[in-house]
Amino acid sequence: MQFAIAIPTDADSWRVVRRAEELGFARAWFYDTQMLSADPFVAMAAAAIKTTKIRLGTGVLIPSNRIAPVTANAFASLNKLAPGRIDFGVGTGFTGRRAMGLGAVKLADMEEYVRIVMALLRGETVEAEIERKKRLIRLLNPELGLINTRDPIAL
Amino acid sequence: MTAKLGAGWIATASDIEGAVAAMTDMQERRRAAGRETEPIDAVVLTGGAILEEGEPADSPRAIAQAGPRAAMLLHRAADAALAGLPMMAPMPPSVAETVAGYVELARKFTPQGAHYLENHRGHLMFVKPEERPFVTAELIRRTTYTATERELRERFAALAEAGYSEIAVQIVPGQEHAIEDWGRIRRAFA
Repeated sequence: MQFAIAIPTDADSWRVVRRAEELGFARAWFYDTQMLSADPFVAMAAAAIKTTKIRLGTGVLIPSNRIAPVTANAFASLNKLAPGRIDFGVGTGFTGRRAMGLGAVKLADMEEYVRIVMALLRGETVEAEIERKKRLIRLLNPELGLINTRDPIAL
Repeated sequence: MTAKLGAGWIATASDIEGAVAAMTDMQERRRAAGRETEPIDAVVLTGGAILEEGEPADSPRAIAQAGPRAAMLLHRAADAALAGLPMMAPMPPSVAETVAGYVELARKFTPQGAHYLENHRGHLMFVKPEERPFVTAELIRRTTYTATERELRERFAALAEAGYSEIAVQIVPGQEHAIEDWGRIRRAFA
């Protein structure tokens, strides 16, 4: 059995994440609660630079907070800072959406969102509905090395 | 969807029985998806506090560290009553009256029609002064992992036995020092 921490995201959550790493915790989950706490990708980036082995995951990302290509890009960007240590935790949105008076994202929409994100991270050209129209998209030049789509990002 | 995709899984059950039942259900879904032989990254996401022997579950420390997690049930109940949103978690009968009291308070939140602004203020981070009377020792006991170190080790061992591979404990803002206590429990499972 391994142990992890789950944190209402603070922009400098890296401090507690680094301590968690020192204490042997295996993972840190960052809340995606935009009306309540800091942005998880900002905090995860700082934690990625300040740690060396603890896994960093969104706990859990709300699909409606970012379009799928932006999420794929964010994870690939983090993956350059912490190769192979990134976890894509996703949910239908509870706290983050209810704090704005909204219910959960539909499960089918979340599944479609995950499909697009993971396909982009695999380097595929994928059809996605953006601004109410189906379009073909892909990450255009990962070979430049500005992001990392080589090391796996776990779902 | 988790079973279909062979993804890792985060469960949020606040008690052992609920967590075991959730795992049983997940294992059945994985069998149906043909994934029963694949390893699963199964996380229990929770919060709580490690009590000293004799320390009550509503001590100032427990309120600070576990109270925000316990207050989730209050916020969910208010969302259900005022906006028709699903409860998402069972209501332990022993706290039903307490929770109902909070819902009556939430009816007065302003602006009217946007109760969620005050209802979710501090969600999972701190106990609001007006909700403090409803964050009782019983609510904390029933909805969080708040107990002595010995009891928590037994509970976590039961979760491991059920098939979970990770316990994720919430660290509340301002209570980061609690990580040292949880680190002790982590070492017991090393």
